[in-house]
Amino acid sequence: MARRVAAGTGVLLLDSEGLSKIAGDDEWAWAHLKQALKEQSRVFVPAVTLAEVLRGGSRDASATAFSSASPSST
Amino acid sequence: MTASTPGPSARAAAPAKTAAKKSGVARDSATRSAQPVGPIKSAAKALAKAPAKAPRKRAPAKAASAGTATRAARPPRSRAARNAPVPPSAVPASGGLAALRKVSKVSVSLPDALTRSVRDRVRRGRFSAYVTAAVERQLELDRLAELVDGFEERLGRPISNELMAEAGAAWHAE
Repeated sequence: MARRVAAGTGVLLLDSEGLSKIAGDDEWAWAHLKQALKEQSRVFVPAVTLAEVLRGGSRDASATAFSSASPSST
Repeated sequence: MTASTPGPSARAAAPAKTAAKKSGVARDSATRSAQPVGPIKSAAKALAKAPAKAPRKRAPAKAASAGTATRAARPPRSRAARNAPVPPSAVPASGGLAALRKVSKVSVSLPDALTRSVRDRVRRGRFSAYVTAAVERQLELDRLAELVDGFEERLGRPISNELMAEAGAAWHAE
């Protein structure tokens, strides 16, 4: 049986700072996200990061929008 | 005859109802005083039994035929609604719960060579899993591309080359 290899290399794992910066439209953070796309890598937002960042207020909107549409959440 | 087509008794009852309306008499008293005979009798009875605040759709003709009211209350979904694209947020992200997902059978046309290559690589019965993984992966990349495009749209320009170079260097750093 031939070996199966996942496409792309590496994983971009967002911590609370990364998710907050992306939610706040920080260009530096988005550059890393675009680089991950260029490399066809997976992007993960751990559940614990969501628990840290999301506070239940209106400020959560952009972070929630990103995490719900983010390629991978675990 | 279908359930939605009014029968002869219903058609006969319509003029009686119109006459009651024109004379300004209340509906109940109109039906009582009309003293219906023959084919319109059953329809008039149904009218008398109908609740006072019944919607106009439940006219005596339709109320008399059983089952019509239920069908009218819940119309079937249109073809356009059934075929509407599923929003990206509605598609579950990949994860360990993949095996528990509800599946639907679809027909996909693939080039012969591609099909043979996949069959050579996967065990019997694992073709769908292989294709599912590939489609999930592509969806991930598409969503990520949409997110980046959305940000650049908000920014009004592409992400600067300097920042991209920095991100590239960080990505490939040991």
